[in-house]
Amino acid sequence: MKQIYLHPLPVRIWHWVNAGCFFVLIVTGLQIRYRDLMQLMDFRAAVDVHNFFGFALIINFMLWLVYYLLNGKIRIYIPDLHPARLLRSMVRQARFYGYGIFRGEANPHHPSPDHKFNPMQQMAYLSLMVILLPLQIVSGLLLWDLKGFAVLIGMVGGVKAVSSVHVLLNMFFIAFLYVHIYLTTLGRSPMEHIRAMVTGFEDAEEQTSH
Amino acid sequence: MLVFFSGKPADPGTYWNLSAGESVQPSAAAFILAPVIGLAFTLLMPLLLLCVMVLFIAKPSVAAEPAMDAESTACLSCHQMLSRSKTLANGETLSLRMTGTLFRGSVHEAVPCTGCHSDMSLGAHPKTVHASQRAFALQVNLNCRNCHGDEPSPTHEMHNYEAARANAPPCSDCHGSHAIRKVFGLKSAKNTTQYCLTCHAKSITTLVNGKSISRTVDHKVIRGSVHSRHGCSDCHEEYSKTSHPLRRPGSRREFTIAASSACARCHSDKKEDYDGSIHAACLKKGDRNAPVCTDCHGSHAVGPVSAAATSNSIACRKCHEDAYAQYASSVHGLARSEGKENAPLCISCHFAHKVSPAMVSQSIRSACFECHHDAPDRHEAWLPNAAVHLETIACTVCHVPEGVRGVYLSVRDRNTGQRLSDSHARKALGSDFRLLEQAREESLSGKELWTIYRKLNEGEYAVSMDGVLGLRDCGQSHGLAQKEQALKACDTCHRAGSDYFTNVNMVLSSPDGREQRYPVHQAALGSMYSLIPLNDFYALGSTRLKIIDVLGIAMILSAIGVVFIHNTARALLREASQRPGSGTHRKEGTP
Repeated sequence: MKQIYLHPLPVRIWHWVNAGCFFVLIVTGLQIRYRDLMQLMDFRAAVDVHNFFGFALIINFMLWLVYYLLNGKIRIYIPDLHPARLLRSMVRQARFYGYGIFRGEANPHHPSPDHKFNPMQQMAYLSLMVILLPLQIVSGLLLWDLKGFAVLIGMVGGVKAVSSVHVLLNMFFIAFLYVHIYLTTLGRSPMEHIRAMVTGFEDAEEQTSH
Repeated sequence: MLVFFSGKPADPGTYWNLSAGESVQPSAAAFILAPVIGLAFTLLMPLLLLCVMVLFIAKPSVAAEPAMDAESTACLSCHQMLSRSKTLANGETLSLRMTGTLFRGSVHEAVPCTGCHSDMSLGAHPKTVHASQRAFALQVNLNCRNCHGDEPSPTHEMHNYEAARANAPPCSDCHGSHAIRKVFGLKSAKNTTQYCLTCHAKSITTLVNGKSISRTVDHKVIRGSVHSRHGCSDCHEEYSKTSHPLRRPGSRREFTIAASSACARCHSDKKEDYDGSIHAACLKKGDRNAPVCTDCHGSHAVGPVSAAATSNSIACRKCHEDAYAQYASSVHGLARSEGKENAPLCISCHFAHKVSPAMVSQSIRSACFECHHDAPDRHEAWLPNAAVHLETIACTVCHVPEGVRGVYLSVRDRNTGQRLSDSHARKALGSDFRLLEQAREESLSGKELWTIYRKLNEGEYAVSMDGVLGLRDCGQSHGLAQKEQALKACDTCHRAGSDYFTNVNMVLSSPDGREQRYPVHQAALGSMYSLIPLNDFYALGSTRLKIIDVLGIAMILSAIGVVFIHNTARALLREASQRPGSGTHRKEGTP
């Protein structure tokens, strides 16, 4: 079977670092907030680890941004700007996930290095990477130094509001990751997409299945 | 003489203008009278000189023993003996010695002994055994009124009062007994202080509200004080040699409070500080036991500032013994007792004059940092967001490990930074003030807190609710422990259900500057209604908003639900998807 090199090494490294950061941040974040319900580690340790991996995530995010902006591949995140076409392709993709997949229909989207994401993925990842993750980073930074960012915190409604946004986004990321991981198992075999994110290669769709 | 010799009046101007060769011719009479006059002059001069000597020199010797009536002379014949004395009923000895010289210059010089000792005479000398010297004086002094009458003086109000009161002291207490001088002479011979002490050095009392209050002043005490160079009138300015208004204070306390106002005349800066203190506020509110200057400094025994340290808060202990006991066993009190001079006293933290209400007011925290300069840096070294911790949590919360904590939501005017007073809040809230009144019965809910916040901000005020963590009982703040015992475990606070957040109060200020607390239900801290009023009071974990938890769990459960349904549907429909023609190797989704 023909294989395509879908995930270049820098993207794979970025992805797994990002995944690790997310995992640690979610666990330590839950530990900080729900001290009464879980005692995986000391509160102070949880805060320190959370702060450390928070900065790691920020650096990783910046690397992702610079990498995709410099090589111009940021395009893969941008959905079709033609509204009608976009709508059509999204409906088609949604129909597949909600109906066709059960009937064994083929995925209407065929990934390639320059066209990696289907329209729904583009919308999800773009809002994630451009809106939600930056928002989480900013709210996390504000909480990291309350005194230093006191003015900004005041402008956005106080530390309670900032914390609420941070926690809600965290909950969203947990939900998102759950769905994300579920979707990775929907390949021809459950491990196919996950393996691709390790090796970089994914089996190419047989042209006949189009 | 020239006139006499010339026999005619001479022009005075010519006496000094006689020229040489001129002569004056004596008259015939001169020849007859001159020897007679000369003889008479010679004989009379010694006589004249004798008279002068008698008049000017001999007189004092006569005055030394004033001319006495026969009765008085008879009295003195016995009473001038040195050994004359008698023992009174209470064992006191009464000297009976009297000499004429004691009367010298007395206004009573011409009064015979029996004029005052009316029960005595040549014919009667009762052997009365008086109860005491005092009783004797009182009895004899009754006779003063024989001459001086009972008519009140229109100008000497105090004298009238003293003379008329039931347990009036004997006149001799102030005026003396035998050597009584004219009052004018008495005043001119003494300065103001000496004049005051004429009476006040004696054991004199005033009856106030049925209680006998001492008015005795020990001049040695004043001499040893920092006010040794001041006269009585410098502080008691209404009183002088010429003025002694009659003050009838309702109590000794009223007198003390009134007298203390004199201090401000010299110590105006201290008075200004005092006026801003909780002590002044209490006094203003009507608490007559609130301390005034003399309660801490003493009235006459005012010591130097340097003595404050050695007195070790004795003044404060008069009222705050409990707090002192805690202080004494605290790290500060122990250091002091070990002789460390820089260990704080009460005034080090509470300030000497501008005594602040305790609790977590900014001034108290500043007092800590005044000595512990490095405290912010030391906390910064280990505590994340140390500055915020130090701003929001009273030092005592961690440094008094056994203290009972509470959350205090201070309603502050954003413009002035001052805590809103109870009366202003009442005015601004109108009928909604009942929420606060009801809070005594049932704690304020989050929604009620929000209503109060909203209503206050709708009116003339822009208020914030600044949450701080402090000790519930201010007194416990004095028991600061050794540094090693301070709390450092984060999750003592940062944990839902932490008992630090169970006692919540909304705080206004009462008229005396102290806190007026209104209980708030602990759930209010995690209520969605707290998002705006308590937007800056947030402790990770412990004051988290419940609604966020609910929304988050709903999101995660939705995701799980969708995946579960999707996966179940796939499994159920697997057979259909694997029917011939659909292809076994299919591409499904991508992540």
